[in-house]
Amino acid sequence: MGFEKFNTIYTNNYLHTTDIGLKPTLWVFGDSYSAKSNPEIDPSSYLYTDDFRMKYFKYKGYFPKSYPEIIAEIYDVNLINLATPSYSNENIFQSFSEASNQIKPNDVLIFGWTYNSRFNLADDKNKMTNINIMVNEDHYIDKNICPQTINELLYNRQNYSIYYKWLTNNLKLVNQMFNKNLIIHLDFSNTSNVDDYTTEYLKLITPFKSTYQTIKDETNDISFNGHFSEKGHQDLANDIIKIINEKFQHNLR
Amino acid sequence: MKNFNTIYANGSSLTAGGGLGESGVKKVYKDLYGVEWDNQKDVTYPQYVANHFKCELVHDAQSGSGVPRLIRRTYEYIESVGLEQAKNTLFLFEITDPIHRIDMYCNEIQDYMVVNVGYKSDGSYEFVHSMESTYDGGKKHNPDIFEGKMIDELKSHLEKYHNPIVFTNKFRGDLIGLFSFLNENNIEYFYMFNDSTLKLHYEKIYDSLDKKRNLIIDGFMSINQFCTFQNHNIRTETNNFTTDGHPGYFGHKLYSEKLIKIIEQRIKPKLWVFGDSFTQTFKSHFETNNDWATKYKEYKIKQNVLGGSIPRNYSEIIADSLNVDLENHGIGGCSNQTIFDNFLRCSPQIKPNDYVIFNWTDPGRFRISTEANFFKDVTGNLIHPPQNDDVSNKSTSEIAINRSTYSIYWTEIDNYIKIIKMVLKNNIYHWTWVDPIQTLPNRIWSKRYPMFNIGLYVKGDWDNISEDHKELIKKESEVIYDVFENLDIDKIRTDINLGKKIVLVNGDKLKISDHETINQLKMGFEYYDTTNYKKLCYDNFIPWKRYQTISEETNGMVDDLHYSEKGHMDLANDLLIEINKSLKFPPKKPNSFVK
Repeated sequence: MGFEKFNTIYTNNYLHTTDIGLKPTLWVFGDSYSAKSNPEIDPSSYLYTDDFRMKYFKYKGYFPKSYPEIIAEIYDVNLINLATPSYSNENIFQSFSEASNQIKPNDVLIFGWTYNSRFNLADDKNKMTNINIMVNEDHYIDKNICPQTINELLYNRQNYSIYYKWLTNNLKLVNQMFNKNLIIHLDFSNTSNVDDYTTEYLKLITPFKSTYQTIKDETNDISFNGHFSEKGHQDLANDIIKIINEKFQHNLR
Repeated sequence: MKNFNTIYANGSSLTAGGGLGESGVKKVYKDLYGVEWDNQKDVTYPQYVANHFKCELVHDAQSGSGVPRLIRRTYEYIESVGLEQAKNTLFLFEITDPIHRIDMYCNEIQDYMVVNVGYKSDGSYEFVHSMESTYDGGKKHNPDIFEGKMIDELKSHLEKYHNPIVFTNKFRGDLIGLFSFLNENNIEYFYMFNDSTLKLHYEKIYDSLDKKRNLIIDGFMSINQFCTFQNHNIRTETNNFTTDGHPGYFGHKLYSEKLIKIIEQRIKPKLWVFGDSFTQTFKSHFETNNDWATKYKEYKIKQNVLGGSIPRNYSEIIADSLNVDLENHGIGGCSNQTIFDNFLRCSPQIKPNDYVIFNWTDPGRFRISTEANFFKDVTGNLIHPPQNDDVSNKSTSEIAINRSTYSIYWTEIDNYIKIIKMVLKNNIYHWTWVDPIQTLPNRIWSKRYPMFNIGLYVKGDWDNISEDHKELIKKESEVIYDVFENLDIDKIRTDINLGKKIVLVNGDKLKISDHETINQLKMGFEYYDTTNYKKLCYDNFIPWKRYQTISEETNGMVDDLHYSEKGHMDLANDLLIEINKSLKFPPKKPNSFVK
């Protein structure tokens, strides 16, 4: 074997190994706005028909890519998407905590923070249930929790901005722990700037356009809620790519 | 209190006692001041610092050497003793500009040598001088080797392949690399820079490093400045016997005295404690005059044991035992969220060698906003006034019961601990007063399910599920199928159609094809998670013990479940056992590294 051939084989192997070892991962933490396009739901589950992505799949005939998938493809990076529909900000932070020891210095982190009013309660099978909206008298989680309790808590969380201080502390912690990484914090709850707590929170949030095409806009079907359509995700991905490019350039300067 | 057993010092002649080894100089010092020494390194500041801290000293400074050798030798030392022992070493660096100080390997002597060069104004070499790189008192090689032919060869080599500016630039990055390596591995070090050439282009990094690492004594950047400007070099101390401007005998001594104070201040660890009322000191409890504290204080006075002094709680006992300052962040009635928040607030001030103890509380506690937009912790106790008029006591109580009943909430603490480990890395200890027994709920079926065509699918290996949990499942179900033992799909279907409450166990062991068979039943199975998250979380804590309570100490006269004075003492002892375990220095490997 000539030196040139050896060199080629060595280079190819080296590049392959380096590629695997150093390829960055795009980590995504968030709720349904950031969740993967194909929920991979067991057909026996009630979610098989209820999940908005399954309904959209039926309309489109395929699973249109969500913004994390588009971004990961553009940059040719690994994607670990831990965003889950209905997740509260506590859930999002917990999913980050669990994954934090696997994050490499060259990984990119996207957080899609959600409504601060959401919270979690354990159901009677020792599983966390997400509380998103006010509930009616029939709602059942656990024999000790009555619907009024849930609604009072939701009201409290909706009405006081102190909960943003809690969230801001978590964002600061993420930034401090991974200060070498590119981190993008998005806010999908359209938080308004009302006082010092929200101001401090919004300072850490990457601004992006708040209106993207929704599935409802695309399908004219009011049974869909405000989740982004295929075009909406594509436009959002393009905007985030611009942000990433700007941040990378800034980091290189 | 120190967490190192060795000091490693590296630098130039300024650190190596340059000039103090000359016999004429030694004689003058003896005649003038009555002081004498054999080896000049014995009267340098690293030796005095090591003596003060009762440490072994690896004095690796060498006259003529600079940053290139310092970087190489530091890594060699760490390789020689291993990373663990390196973490028990305090590194002292005197940083000199490398432009005149080359570290070069010589095949003839099979060793590194120090090569010093002088430049003329046109950049050509005025002189080149070489000598051995590692000796301690005696010589390893014949000094003649370094003269004549070698000097000519070195000069020729340097003229062709050496550029002093390029050489210096290289070591800017190399030095940052060494400091980053030490930071990454939590290895303690301090430095002094003789000039700032090597900081060029890395000012931002040094802005932050200098705060922790730079040794500035009485405003002087280095021992050289300190001694020169205060008449403590050899020339002035020997009344001009010599023109040698190296630090003198008294200069080293004075410098070391000031250096020791600064090091003590920088390295002295603190004890940080975060928790609830179990962490609050008795003094602060007594000052708040709450019911149990007042009664306990009265009891102690009656027992005549207070005698003017207040009992110490576990954090004070540990701080006294370790001889460290205490930062107590115990807040009565607070939730784990508040405990973690307090930690986040303090974390930028916590040093790598500080001790941090977390007293985790009942996850039943949580917090809501008051009308004034402040967080208030909720203990779930119905006798407390509501935290907010829009959230009734009944509601907070229901939430508290939910949070206390289900072990899933212990994953919150588990995740906090994961984050803390990533932020702090060392010397973290966790404990809780909460009883480890997890009370199970009394049923497994939910009103949410229709009473037919729904089954429970128990996650995990049935054999590993606790007996009380098995009993609950057995009591609550009409049929239990061990589907791994016998997957009788027809029988399961029949029972489903009869509307029985059925439970499948050991399903996790099935093949994918068997799962597909179960899916054909078209029955909505709900997962039932029997994991005891509380038990898993306790793996993070020191072994749980039932310590003596105030109620026990006072025979019920003060009906309170906080720990008594003895309880705190026992808890402190148990925590100290854990702390001492991690403090024990591993046995050192014998090594031949220069002393």
